[in-house]
Amino acid sequence: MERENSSAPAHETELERAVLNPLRKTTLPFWAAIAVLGALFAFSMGTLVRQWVLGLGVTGLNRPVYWGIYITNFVFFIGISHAGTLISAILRVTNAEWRRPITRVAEAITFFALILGAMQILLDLGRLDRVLNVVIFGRFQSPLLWDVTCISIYLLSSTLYLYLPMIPDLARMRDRMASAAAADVDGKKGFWSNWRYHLYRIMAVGWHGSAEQLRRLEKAIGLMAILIIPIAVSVHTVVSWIFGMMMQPMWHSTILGPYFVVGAIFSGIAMLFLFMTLIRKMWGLEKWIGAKQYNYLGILLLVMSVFWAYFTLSEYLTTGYGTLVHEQHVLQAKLSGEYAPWFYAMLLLNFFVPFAILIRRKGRTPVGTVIASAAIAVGMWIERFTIIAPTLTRPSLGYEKAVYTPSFTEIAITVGSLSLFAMLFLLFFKLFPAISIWEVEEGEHIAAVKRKAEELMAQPGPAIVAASVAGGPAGVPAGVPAQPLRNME
Amino acid sequence: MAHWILDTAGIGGIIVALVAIPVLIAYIRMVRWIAAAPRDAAHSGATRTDAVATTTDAPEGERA
Repeated sequence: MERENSSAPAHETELERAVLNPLRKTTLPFWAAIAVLGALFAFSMGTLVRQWVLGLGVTGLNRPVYWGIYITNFVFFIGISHAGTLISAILRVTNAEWRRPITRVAEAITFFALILGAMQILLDLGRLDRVLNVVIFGRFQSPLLWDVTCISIYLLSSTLYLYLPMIPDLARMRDRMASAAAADVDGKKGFWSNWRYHLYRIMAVGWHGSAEQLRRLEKAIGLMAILIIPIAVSVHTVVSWIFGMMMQPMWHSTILGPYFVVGAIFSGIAMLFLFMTLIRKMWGLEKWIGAKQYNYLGILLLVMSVFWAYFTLSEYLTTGYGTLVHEQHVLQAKLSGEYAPWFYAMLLLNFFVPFAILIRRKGRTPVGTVIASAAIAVGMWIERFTIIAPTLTRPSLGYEKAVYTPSFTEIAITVGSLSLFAMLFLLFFKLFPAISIWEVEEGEHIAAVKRKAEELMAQPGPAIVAASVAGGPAGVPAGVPAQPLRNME
Repeated sequence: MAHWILDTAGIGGIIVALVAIPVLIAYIRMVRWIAAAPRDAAHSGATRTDAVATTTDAPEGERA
């Protein structure tokens, strides 16, 4: 049941075949996944149209509970957007070699999560024709405006950070498809007959792979990796300030900024595990996304789980020891009131389940990490919900205590948003390589040089001198494949 | 004294534009700078997209 778009060239390496074949062949499971996700999204679009026609009133959102699960989704999506860019940037800056096969998946998660996050705000506005009012009438002291600014910059930066490392791979795809395009010499078939070739050609911006061009690319990626870390931290800090700058119980807290950042990285790593395992399984990339990535990233997830538990304890213990009446009402609602099941589920899913799985080396396997990550993804969504709903149902102003139950419209649109997120992710990797081929090749070359150097160091002195003399001009020891350079022409 | 910055509606939008537009221009220029890199003398006219230049490709003074 496979349909081939073009055949693989005979001289391709194993890595190239593994990464590029899913782009050439479309399998039945892929179309099945797209069909299911597309159907869910189409259904949610129906409810969305109904909301736009009849107004936000169909959701039941009103004072004092003016934010429901749309804003929960917004915070959740912005949180998981930290998967990519921040984790990828930190691993690049620290030169963690094992990062190479997973950075592109991570960066793509950021890109799509940010788009979906911004869409949640539009959903919550109710009327799309008012969206520009945020900018036209925006006031400097409004955290909402800071948020628009930070997310805009983050989206621009993340897009560039995703795009830059793709350029050499796009050029590789361009050159692989050049023969098919060249067959249409008179252009009779038109642009769309070879649209993928033209897409890669335009996006490759004339990449020719000279040493100077590679030096510039690596310099730009290095600069973006450093810039993106403070930008990403600022984004989730400002998201927290939307709540923290209000005199609302359990929102007006100095810990909220770092608490949100830790939660964002935590949920981001969990989402990275889920999506990298999906791609690994569907695209057959087990050889490159393997035990090392699951083990190291699993340790990182475990550490973030402990950090999250520490921040949660600090927040709730401080509130519990206080005597602020409004805060006690919200705290009681979470500990023993109607939000208690949500609160304890959050603790179980975000700390106890992942800790029990990830603390052992045997747990940091694809199966173990996916179970832990699925628990965290659900747990972190609940965490966002328990920050928003209990406070709004017990406002400090003169409103009566309220009740919030998500409406069918909100639930349907939430399911549609998650479906759209997964669908965009799969379609993206149907067009572009899921692994950064040139970076993995570079990593393999570095590893080969290190191995050879270690072998030489183990030999007596004269052998090292002889090998150095026989080696390349840059001191690459003899016997190492100096560089995976093969001209196309 | 400078409360007009805080109180005037629309100032915020201008600030968003003042931040976002230069960032966008800087990023476009970065991509153009990469695209405009000269070809290697030895490989002029040839694309090396299957290639990963390594330390041996870097100029003498920049090798790791």
